[in-house]
Amino acid sequence: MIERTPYLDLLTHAILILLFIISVLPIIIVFIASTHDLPTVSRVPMALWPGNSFFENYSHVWNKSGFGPKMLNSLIVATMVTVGKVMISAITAFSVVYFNYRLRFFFFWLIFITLMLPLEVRIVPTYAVAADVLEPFRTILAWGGVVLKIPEINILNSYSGLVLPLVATATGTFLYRQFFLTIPDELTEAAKMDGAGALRFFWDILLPLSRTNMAALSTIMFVYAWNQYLWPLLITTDPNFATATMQLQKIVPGPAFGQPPVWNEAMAATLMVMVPPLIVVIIMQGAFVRGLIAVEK
Amino acid sequence: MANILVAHLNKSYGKNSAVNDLNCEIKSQEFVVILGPSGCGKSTFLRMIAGLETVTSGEIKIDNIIVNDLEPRERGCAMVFQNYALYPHMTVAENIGYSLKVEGINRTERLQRIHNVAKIIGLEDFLDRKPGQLSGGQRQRVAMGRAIIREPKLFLFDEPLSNLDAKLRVQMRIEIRKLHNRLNATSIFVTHDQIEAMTLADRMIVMNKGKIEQIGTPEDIYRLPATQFVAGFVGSPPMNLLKATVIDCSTVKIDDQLIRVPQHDVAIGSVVIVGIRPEHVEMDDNAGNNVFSIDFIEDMGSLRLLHGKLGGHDFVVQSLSGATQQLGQFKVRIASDKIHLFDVATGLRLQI
Amino acid sequence: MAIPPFRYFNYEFYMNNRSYFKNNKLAAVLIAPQLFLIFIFFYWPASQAIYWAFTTQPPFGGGNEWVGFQNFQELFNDKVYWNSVYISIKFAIYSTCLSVVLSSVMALCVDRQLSGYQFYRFAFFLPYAIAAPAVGLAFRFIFAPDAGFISIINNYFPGSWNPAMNGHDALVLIVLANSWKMAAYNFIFMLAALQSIPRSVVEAAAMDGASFLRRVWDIQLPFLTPTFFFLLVINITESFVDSFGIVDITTGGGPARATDLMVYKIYTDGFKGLDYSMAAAQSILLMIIVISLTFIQFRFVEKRVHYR
Repeated sequence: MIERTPYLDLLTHAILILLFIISVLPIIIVFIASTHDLPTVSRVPMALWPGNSFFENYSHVWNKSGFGPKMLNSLIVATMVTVGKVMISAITAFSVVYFNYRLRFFFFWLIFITLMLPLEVRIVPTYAVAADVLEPFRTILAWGGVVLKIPEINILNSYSGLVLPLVATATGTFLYRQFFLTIPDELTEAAKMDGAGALRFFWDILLPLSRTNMAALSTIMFVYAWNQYLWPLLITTDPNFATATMQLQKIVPGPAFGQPPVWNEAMAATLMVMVPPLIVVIIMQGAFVRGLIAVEK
Repeated sequence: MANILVAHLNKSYGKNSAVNDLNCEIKSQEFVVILGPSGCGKSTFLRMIAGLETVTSGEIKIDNIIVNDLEPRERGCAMVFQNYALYPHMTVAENIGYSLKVEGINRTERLQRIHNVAKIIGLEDFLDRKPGQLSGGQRQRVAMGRAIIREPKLFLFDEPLSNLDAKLRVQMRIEIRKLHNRLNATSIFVTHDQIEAMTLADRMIVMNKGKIEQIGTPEDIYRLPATQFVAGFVGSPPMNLLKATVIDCSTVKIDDQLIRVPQHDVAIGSVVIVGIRPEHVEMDDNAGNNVFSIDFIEDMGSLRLLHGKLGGHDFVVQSLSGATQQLGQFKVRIASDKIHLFDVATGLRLQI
Repeated sequence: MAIPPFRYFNYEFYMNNRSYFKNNKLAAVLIAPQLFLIFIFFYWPASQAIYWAFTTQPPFGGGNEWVGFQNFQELFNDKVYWNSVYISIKFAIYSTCLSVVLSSVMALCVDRQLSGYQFYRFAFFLPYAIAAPAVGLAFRFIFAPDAGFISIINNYFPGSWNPAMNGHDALVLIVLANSWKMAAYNFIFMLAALQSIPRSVVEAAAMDGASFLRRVWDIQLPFLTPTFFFLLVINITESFVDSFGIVDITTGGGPARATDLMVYKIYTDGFKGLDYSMAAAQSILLMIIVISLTFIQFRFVEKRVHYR
């Protein structure tokens, strides 16, 4: 459309630039702060150009503060959550869309409700369950008068503890379900006529067609899992299982009292925590945006 | 190939009845067309034969085996869908060969058979393309290839030509019939296009509102429609159907026009439906007995359709192109032996 | 893509006459893992929370004692609790308003598609990819009383900015951090909504003589209203729930409980204070708030959309 609005355009550009700076500046500041030595970084205002202590700071944080292994843990956890989520959601949605059994509607609702309460609201009892995973069954059986010696499975301080509660929500299932509903019936019928059974159909036809969905879901799940803070904090006391994001808490001594943080190292740690999800989102922008929007539907 | 026997077939969704008491027999190697308007239940009928819909009551037998409870793949049928239903992420070759892959046939044999079928449908050079890269007609042929490769007892076609443009439709229907002949197959073809039905069928099943109106050869159905519906549905341009009052055993009256009809025994004074095909009326200003006023002319090149009124009712006459035809009132001669009479209440043909 | 994106219950789900597979045993096997997980990690904990909220745990172990609403009564009489409710509400309102306004402006500007808009669009959603504590720490640095940038004010007006000491400053800090992140999220949805307005409608308005600002007011904003409400609810919910990461890293709930959000208090009471019953009671109340918000979104927002 041809529209001559030079002043408005100028204003728009100005606003955009301002907002752009606001969006990006914190990240840049974090980076710059992480390259200075302590005295420089503690000056007010901090210098706006990068310093020389890049390698020093980062190797210090990586080794002494043990950030290295934590980053690895984060990677493992995020990958496990992503893969687990993508797989479980796919088969659950498949069950709910392509089969017709009476409890289908009920199960769908059951899964749907889990969207309403995020993890933060039920941390205490979820922690209790993680401490003794089969406790629900033991208790329920005890109500019925059956006292079975069900073993105590403790998933605190373990990858399963970090991963499973995050895989337990319904986000991915909805994404897949919605997508499956858009696949024309005729395709299913043609596959049936070709002799394909349910699993064959799922593997040969449904999954390949779901590729964009899977990319979108994977992207948002990876970012979500990497960025988890509260849950890893609760469930890991053993430093071998700590994740990078939760480790930020350790980098920073108590906020109100005591010493201020060692800012340059703190910023280096922050940057390390920021970078992987940023990279994932940068590479998979389209999938990320698509995933966020589709999940909210 | 296969012969099909359908007995008292019913299908209802809750209270709504989709098809009602269907009975028919399809002989081996026949090309049968199920014809009817949208929503008449023809697709439902086909899908029940295929095993894609459950049967509410009644029996379907393929080669004397009751197949009501068999899965589609166990029935030995192959289907060509209206929207082709090709697997979008697979190549043409993979699409065609998918059923063989499911069966577990090894790769070499599969490729050989795919290649043979590709030759039959003329798509050997397209085997590596994906459906998205093909034209409508090519996709249709892939869909057919997918059906052919299974060497089924029975071919089922669910309005396969509806999504093609007119010219392609004509071409493809010839190819389908030729294929049927070549493979000695039994085929059931569903369509709402009566021209397709007339040109393709060995026999036709005309359906309306879930019921079978008539089964017969195209010729029988055209010459002797069993019901008013069939009479008005088959034939292009459609038969003129007018309400008339019986004067005597060989005359009826439409408004002020008297028309000679074949002998019948309907009571005098009662109302009947009179059916006259546009091609059975001749413009004859000299010896014509009835008056026809033309208000619109459609010139189709070799033929003319004259639209107007006879006895106050809408009427169409077909005539050959020739001298210029004017609008206005003219005399026409109606071939009285070619007139059909139908009961006004039941729509059934009144026997003479 | 439909506007607006929102969670709704798909009633056509079970009226759909789709093609099904017959193997229901297989269906059960396929759905079992998810059901197992949500039972263990959602339904059981949720019911446990309810149980604990209505009982107390004796200090030296043993079974729980049913006390009815006593825990809740204690809570309602607790000033500290009401303080956290009050703070949470303030926080929700401030950060929601700020982030929604910011993101609307961002979306409207980017939607104009001036040169380089793809670049802005890309930059604007990046903040959402960053973890809450990382955001918190970054902002804590920038707004630190003795480092960073903002404290430059203290050189001119000594003592005017100190989030470590001043409760009000601390609240400002966490609101800014949260808004920065949520603005990116909101931006994505706003932009998607704007872009799904058919171009022809906007062009028709232009032909009718409407200037850009006029079109924004008369056409784009009304179109955005459903998304707007949707985001409102999502933002408020997130601020009740997701803010933990920011608070823990920046202010720890202080100074003097000035930023003691409800979710933070649950954490401190439950895990630091080991008072599970009170933490559970608070969790229940928070759950009720979150569920009501989600409910409002279904009923209210959905109805507003359906008239289209």
